[in-house]
Amino acid sequence: MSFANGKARQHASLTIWLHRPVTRDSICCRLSSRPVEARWRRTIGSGLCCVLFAILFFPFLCKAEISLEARVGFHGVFQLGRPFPLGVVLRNSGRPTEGTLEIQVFKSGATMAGAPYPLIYRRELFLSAQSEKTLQFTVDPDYISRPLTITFESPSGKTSRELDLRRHFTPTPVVLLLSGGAAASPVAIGAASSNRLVGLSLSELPADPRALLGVSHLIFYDQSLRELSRFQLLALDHWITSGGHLLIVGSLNYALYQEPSMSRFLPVRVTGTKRVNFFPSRAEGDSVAPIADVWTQVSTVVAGRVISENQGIPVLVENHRGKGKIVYLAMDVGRPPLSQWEGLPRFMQTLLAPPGADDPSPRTHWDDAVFSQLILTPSFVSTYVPTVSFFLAIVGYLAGVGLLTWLWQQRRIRQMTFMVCLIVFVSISGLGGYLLFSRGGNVPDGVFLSATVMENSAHGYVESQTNLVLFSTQIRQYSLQLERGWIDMVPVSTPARERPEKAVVLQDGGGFSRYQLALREWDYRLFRMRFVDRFPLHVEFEQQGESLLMKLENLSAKDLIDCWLLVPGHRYALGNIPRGTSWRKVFSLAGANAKESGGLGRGEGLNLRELSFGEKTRDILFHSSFFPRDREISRWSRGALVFFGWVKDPEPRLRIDDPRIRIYDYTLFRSILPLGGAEDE
Amino acid sequence: MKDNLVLRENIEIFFSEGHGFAVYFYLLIILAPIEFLSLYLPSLDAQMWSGSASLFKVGSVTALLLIVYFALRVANQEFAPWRFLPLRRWTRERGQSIVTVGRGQLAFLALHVTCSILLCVPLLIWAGAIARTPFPRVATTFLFLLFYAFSYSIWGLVTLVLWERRAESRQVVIRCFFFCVVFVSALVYLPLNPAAFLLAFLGREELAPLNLGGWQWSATTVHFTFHLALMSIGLALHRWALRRELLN
Repeated sequence: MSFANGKARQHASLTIWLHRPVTRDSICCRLSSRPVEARWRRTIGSGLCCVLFAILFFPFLCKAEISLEARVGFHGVFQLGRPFPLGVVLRNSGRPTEGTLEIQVFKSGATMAGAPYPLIYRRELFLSAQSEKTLQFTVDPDYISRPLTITFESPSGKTSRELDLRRHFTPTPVVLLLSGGAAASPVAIGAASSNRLVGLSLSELPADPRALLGVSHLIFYDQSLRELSRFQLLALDHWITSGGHLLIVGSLNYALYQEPSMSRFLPVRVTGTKRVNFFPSRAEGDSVAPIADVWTQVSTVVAGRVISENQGIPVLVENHRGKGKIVYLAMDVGRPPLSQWEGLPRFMQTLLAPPGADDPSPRTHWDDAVFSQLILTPSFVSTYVPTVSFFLAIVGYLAGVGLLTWLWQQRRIRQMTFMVCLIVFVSISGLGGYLLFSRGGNVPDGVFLSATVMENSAHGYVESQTNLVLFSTQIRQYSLQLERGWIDMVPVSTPARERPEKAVVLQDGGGFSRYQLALREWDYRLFRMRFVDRFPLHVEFEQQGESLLMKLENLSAKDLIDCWLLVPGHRYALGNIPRGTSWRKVFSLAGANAKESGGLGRGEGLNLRELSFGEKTRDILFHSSFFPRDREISRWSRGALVFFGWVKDPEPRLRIDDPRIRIYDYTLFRSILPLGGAEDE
Repeated sequence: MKDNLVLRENIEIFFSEGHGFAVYFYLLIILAPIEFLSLYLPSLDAQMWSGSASLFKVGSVTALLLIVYFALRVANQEFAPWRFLPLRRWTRERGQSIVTVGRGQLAFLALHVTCSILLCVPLLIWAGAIARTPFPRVATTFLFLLFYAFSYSIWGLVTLVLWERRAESRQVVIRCFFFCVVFVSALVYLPLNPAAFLLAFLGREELAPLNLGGWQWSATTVHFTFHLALMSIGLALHRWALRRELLN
């Protein structure tokens, strides 16, 4: 193809561009017709190639740019000494990156009579290019004089930030209010209240029950819970059973209170609203004049106890759940006329009164002394010390070397034979001994023992104290998976240790938490853990003069073995209590039959010393940890009723999925009822 | 090396005539009871497993001290000294070059150290198995023993060549040297001490770095630099002393 002049060439080339298949000639035509455009194309193409090449082979040229921002507590407030939520916002203004976010706090220290050690909260994440990600943590520093450190580390670099927590804490628990996004707080608790009231949006409510442990009350007012996630609901449930107090205040929008997510907490079924006259008592307000036309929700009680009612409408209903409580107030305090009532703050303060200090269950004892006893029991770890075989091996080896040398010296074997025999003998001795001693005794890599006391709480719940020990015969890393529902888990401080404790890493992911820690060979570490769980084993005592009526109903999925009832001066072996068992028995409280029951004099109070369970480890745990002598049990020297039994095949609260680690799990259920009040210590 | 007369003489005296067996006898007869007692005595106490826990550490440190001590003495020709030909006779009467004599001495020292470690192998491997020390650590410990034995025992050859005709002086110097290595080095800077370093290695502990004039060196670097320097200086001095002996 040839062209006579420029115009014709341009036209022709356009035609080729649009209608004809591209051929070498046509490309030549285009290039020649548009040299500037082609040059630009080439330049852009080369530039793109260079960029692509740089990204592929020189990633440091286009690194991820990470910035960190932290959100402490509930809008910057948290209760000192309690876990609190920490939101970390990561912004990436560069290329995608993968990295690890770590938050380091310090535990233990001088205030807890132990050397401080770092606790690291770790999470691995991927940050896409030009993105922002918020991660929620629940952190629990033991003291705040050291800054909290947040670090994001990725192949492209490290970003770090330190936070001074001293500006954020409050000594008292926080009160949280969720009120449907109202700008101004519709619920006034007054300036006199020692608790800080913090308004939250629904999305800001933590999904971890531990983050709410520094919250005394949570108030729902005019709030739809439809947007609450499953984890947030579970966290709320768990927080309440662990001792949290939920106050649900009614509003005109009663439909919000009929949602399933709200109904699961309400002790009533809301059917509508009605204007009623409210008669504040003198204690609740300065004036005793009635307040007319107060919006009140109409409801029927589903569970719990009606504290007050007005014109047949339950106004104040409370329902206990585990160690916590849900209080429902039917009146709309955020709308006139009640919102303008002067006595409202005081009235609200009565509802938000700090929970009374319930009698704390006796603490179990857990320290190096208990562990020293445990490790001596042959069943804990095979205390395989091959002294005899080692002695025989040494003697045999020395004799063998001596014999070979003697044979050579006596010219009975040649030099070469001697050398070969010696090398073979040394090799066989070394290898054979290694196999014998390394496999002998079946020494595991580690032993993990969990000893739990389930303290009978009300309404089918138990508060469990779990003492843990991890004993290692190897230098290795251990990973403990915590089941859902744990409240706290802390390593026990050991002030006598020669060297500082190593860092413990807490990693969340997949709905589980993992504790990761390193142990040296023949080393151990003790932990304490607490959780509240459902265990429907109901034990009730009723004193009837000189006799005691005991009602027991085991609705749990576990059998109890080796159960005992202790009353002052008496001890009754109850044997096993299988699941589904329900009985009522009368026991004598008089001094008679003391000899038959192996009991003691009434004046001697409770004496557990002679109790034995046929297993050394159980005996040690019972006498040294669960009921330590001369410690907590002395509180009931005036008298107490103690029922306990060992739980058969208990559910593990911590898992170590490693066959090289031997696991023991002991759980004791107990119910203690002091007679005549606990004695002051 | 087979034709090296110095080496052959050493082998003949030490092994064929049996003058060297005392060294290996002492080595085993000290190491074996120490290992056994370090396992047995704690087993009488409540924490009986603590004996197993430290068995390999005790065994390897004992072996280190014994091997180094006896290697120094062997290099210094403290066993059957009357049987060895003096250097002057090797060079002037037997016509051996200085290089040949030096190589022969070094080769025999290597042979002795290897034999010492070989004899200790079963005892240390058993200790490692009982203490559940990972096998790579046990194997590395043997390399450490080899390295330390060479680093220090070369100085036995130095003293031998320098003061060949003053046996008592040599013995005093060798013992002072060993004392400095074992005790004084720990006082100057702990990571210099071979026993401390070996224990730190077995316990996976980080030793304190050395800070000098604003510069910081890791303990491992300082330790190995010191020992390599010690070995190099020892070798250089040995060669220099042999040359000096030839010139005299």
